[in-house]
Amino acid sequence: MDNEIIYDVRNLNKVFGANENTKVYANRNINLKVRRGEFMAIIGPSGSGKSTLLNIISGLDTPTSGEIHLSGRLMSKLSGSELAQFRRDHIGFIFQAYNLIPVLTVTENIEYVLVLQGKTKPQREAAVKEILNLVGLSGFEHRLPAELSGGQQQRVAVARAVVTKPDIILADEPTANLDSKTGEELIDMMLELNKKYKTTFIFSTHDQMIMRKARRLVTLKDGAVLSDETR
Amino acid sequence: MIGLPLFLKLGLRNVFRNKRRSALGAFAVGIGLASLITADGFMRGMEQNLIKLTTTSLLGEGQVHNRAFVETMDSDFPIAEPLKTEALIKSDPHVVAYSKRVLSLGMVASTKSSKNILIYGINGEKEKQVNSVHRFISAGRFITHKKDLVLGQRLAKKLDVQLNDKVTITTSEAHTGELAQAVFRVSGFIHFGSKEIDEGLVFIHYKAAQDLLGIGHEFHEIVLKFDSLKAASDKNLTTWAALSSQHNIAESYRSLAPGMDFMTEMMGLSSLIMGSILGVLVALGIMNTLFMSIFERLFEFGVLRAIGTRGLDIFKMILWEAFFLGLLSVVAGFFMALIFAGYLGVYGVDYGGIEFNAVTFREPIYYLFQWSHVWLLPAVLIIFILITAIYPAIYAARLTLSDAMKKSL
Repeated sequence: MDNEIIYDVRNLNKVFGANENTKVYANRNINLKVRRGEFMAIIGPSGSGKSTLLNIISGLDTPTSGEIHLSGRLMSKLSGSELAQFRRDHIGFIFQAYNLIPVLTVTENIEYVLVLQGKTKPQREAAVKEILNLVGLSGFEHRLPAELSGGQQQRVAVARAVVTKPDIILADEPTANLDSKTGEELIDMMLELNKKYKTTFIFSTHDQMIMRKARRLVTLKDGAVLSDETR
Repeated sequence: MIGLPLFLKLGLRNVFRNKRRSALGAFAVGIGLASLITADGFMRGMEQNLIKLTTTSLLGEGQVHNRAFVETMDSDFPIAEPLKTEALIKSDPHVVAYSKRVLSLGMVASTKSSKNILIYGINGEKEKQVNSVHRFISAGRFITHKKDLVLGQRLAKKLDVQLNDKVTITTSEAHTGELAQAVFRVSGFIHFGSKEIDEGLVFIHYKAAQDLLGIGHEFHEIVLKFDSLKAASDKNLTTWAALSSQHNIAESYRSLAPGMDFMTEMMGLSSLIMGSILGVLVALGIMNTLFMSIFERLFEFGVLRAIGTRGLDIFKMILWEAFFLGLLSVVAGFFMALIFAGYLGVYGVDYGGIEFNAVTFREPIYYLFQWSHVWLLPAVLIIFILITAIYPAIYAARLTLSDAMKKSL
């Protein structure tokens, strides 16, 4: 594992509600450093602040206070379009419900971000071919998401997240809609990608299987870090 | 992305994502387009019908008068320099026929009754070349002999005269003002459908009228027929200036019947009002369709933004969707217009008997095809749809990412 710190979260707080009586502290004074190539899971009971933390470190939401440095850049300094560009180039997302674009084929879904990045057609074709082989979906290039199983759709989502070779991939409950066998195959595939590309994976999960396979477990309770265990 | 640009392709495919909703939206907007096409074509058909009726009536396509006659209707003012005027008419390349008339106010009397009328002294053969009045002879014949007199059926009824009955025309001589009388034989009845013609005038031979008024070979009115209605409608045609002088004035039927321009303006205004109302309905329909589509996909927009899509790209995507929805609406509109306008084009609507501006509709009014119906109206519709789509597109582009990813229908 590389020692380069790609995420540096300092004194992060997120409070919902303005009124003192209705305020909810979703994240409390979180300090977290994530190094390149980590395969970590953020765990905790429902309402512990996992998704909020994931949303904030991905730039989908903003903290009430605190700083997040991603690859040395302070995220709060970035404008809306800079943040969009930053997410496009540095972060990959995997969602619980796959969230592929239903009107685009497998190939088109995967190369979507590459198009946004301005990659040429030969570059895109080569990248898509490589990633489809890795996720085991060769032969499915022209299928629409609706023509795939849940597991296959999530593989496409992983391929979409990985194809740009981002610094980090954030996965929110990626196995929640999959059966245990398919879920384990998916996580094994992500482990391979983690090894091959040194891509950092951060999961928000309840899944025991992911917890077993993760090399670092950050446990949240009531919005605060309860434990941070590296195996 | 193969083939089409990314957001164009997304826009196209998104339109067909919920086929039923898109079809209903396109159908609703298409009805608007079909209504506009049909109404515009029908109004143009009505305008054409009215022009045809006007120009084939006594008015003709153009007329020449003495300016003083126009102001006073006094038979003391015949056309000035008649020989020169007639020579100019003969040499004008646009004029294909003309007819000279003698006009005077007078009275027609039978043994039973009398009535004030306008006397039209005409050359029956020449008159046939410039209008269709002769076609409305309902009994007897048109003016052929010097003692012939043709009058409307309604006037004949009031005077209680039959064909070949004798009637007396009384008028005052031009220049002297002395009373002049002559006896004529009723040679024909006319049923034009216009009160003005059927009740208010009689036709006699122009030579008899000249004798009655004591004006020698002079005349008061020349009716013109042109090689095309386009030429006759052109108020800037050189003919008008050439035939107009210090004493005479030559005018197009458009100037002689200002109601025509009024009618055209009214039709334009009606189209504008109808277009505006339909425009509001189309705008609401399009906004509704796009907003429904956006609200159904809030989470998807969140995902698109999350993976790096800029707000501007979302904006473009929604506009493309609107564009393709517009194209679909145009296709639906053409299909419906084919039915509505097709029906009106074949069967028309019968306004027979309704009088406008001294002319009476006698034929059904048909839809009249215009090229603007297949390019201008659809183009305006699509541009309008794109303008309408700007608001939903801005809404989608400005969605807060975290909110978008929380909301879903």
